[in-house]
Amino acid sequence: MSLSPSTSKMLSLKSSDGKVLEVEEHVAVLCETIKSLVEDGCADSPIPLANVDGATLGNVMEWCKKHADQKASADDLEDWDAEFVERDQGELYHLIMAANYLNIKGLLDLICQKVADMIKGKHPEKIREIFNIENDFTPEQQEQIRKDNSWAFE
Amino acid sequence: MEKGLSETMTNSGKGNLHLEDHSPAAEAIGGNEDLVREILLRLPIKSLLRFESVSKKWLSLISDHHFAQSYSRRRNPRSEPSGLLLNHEYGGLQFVPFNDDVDVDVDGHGDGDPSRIKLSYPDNSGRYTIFQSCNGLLLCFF
Repeated sequence: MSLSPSTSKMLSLKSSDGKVLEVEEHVAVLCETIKSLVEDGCADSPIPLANVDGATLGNVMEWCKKHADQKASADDLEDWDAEFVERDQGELYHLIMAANYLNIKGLLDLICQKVADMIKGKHPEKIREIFNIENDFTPEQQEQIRKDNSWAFE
Repeated sequence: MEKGLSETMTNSGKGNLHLEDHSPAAEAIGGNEDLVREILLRLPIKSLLRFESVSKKWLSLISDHHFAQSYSRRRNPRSEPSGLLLNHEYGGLQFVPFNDDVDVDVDGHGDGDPSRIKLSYPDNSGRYTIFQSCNGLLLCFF
């Protein structure tokens, strides 16, 4: 938090597919996972991020850079975020996994809301397909839930 | 629209799905209870209830007491009960605040003292039936 842009040094982040990204420390520490490493003095060598691919890491750091910019107003950030989430579903899912792994609450909130907006109103069968979930209800149980919540299916 | 979707799914089976519907990352999210929960918390109530029929796991996540609390807290950050709304037998609604800061008055007499309130529940002598209850709210038939 106390790290200001003027004193910020560079950190190397290494993605799961071996790409190395040089990022200013005050930007990278928006990731709580990286912040802990910096605070513990373990951030000297390229930091290996085994669960984030290079393209996703680039997107994550783009978000962090914007949100680390102290000149950005709240309105500005909101507009920028709205554009940032306009991307294909696959990218959004990768971003959720990365935001979760790197522990970036703001980004996780943003993408979870976007995914919720995308899946709301969809048929439960469609949801099972998207997230590859097995339907483990019997047809009778299924019907009972439908009955209990009939107004939600109108 | 939903009907259309459901018919298409039945007719076309799984062969016609778009590639974007099968993302390994989406599959990983589906298997991560914390992330599923984060997404569910941000859904409108109608979708949430529909999605109870996705799987047993989702049903238990959505109907969990703690989930319901988090869900209502997100929608109404000041969700502590502010008082009681009483429907007097002799007519008129009275709002009885639980603390002095709340000064809402529905019928012009906002001077109720919460310490003096006595609720007749559950001794109702058959005047009403409790139909459902959920997180401290009772649905009664008079």
